Amino acid sequence: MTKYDINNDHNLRSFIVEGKLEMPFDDFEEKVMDSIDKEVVNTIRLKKLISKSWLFYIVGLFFGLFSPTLINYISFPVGVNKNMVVLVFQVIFALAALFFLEKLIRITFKKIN
Amino acid sequence: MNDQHYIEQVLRGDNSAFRYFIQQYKDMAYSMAMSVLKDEYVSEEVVHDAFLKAFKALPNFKGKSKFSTWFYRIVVNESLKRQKSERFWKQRVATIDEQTIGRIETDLKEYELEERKLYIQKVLKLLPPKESLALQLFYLSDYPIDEITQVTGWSTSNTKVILHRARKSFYAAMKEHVGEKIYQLL
Repeated sequence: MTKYDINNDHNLRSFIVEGKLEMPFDDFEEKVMDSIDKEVVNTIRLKKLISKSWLFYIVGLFFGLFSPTLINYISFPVGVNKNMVVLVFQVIFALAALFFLEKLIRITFKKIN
Repeated sequence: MNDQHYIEQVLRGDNSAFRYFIQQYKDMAYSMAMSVLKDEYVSEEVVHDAFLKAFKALPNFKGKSKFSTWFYRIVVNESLKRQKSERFWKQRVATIDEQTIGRIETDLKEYELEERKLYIQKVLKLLPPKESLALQLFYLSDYPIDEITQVTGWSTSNTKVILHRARKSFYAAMKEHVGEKIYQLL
């Protein structure tokens, strides 16, 4: 008895080829192309939004860095330690700057990949 | 024109060039999704999502394998994600001797093509996902074993085992579910 060889099973091959399925939905191609067009539009929109986000981040960073200087020109009520106000402001600013930087980097690289 | 030409066109910004891939691979992708999911509508959704995923990931396609291999891997992964349970399929063990297989082959050949096609499609729907998928890839796509391993992530020996088991299951299911009809008509 000869050993069965999957590579030379012509009967099974012809049966499987005959039973080949075809996509039964006629509008499938259009549906995929529509989704692709929407995806492209969304990607362009998202890229613009990311660019704007970076721009506003840099503008915010610029103002944030110069704000302590401005605080010096503000007159505070007696008993309020001006240096403490500046310090609190700087800590909050640094945390916010790092938080948004991480978010921006994440969303930018997610878009690229 | 080969796949590479259209890949370059898509990467240059001509999105309509992607239509070529849809026309070229939708039927095989649908067959593969049907092998795993056994449902027309879910399979259509999965193939749709796979094409969209392939479009988005095309800039990352390095050309180390054929586009079809890369794309079918996406289809298989998406299908497996949507597959609800494999427990049902694990219970099925086909036992059939070579003589019976030979008889079924002869009987099947006596049918009109359309009728035979319906029987085969019905039986493929009854096979466990892995076995049906292996048959489609090996006999329909003409993929060698090593390329099937790339698409499915199975090992070489596992692929061979699945293929052998798939053949037995195919004829056992043919005998069990279609056989009665065949012998009534003969």
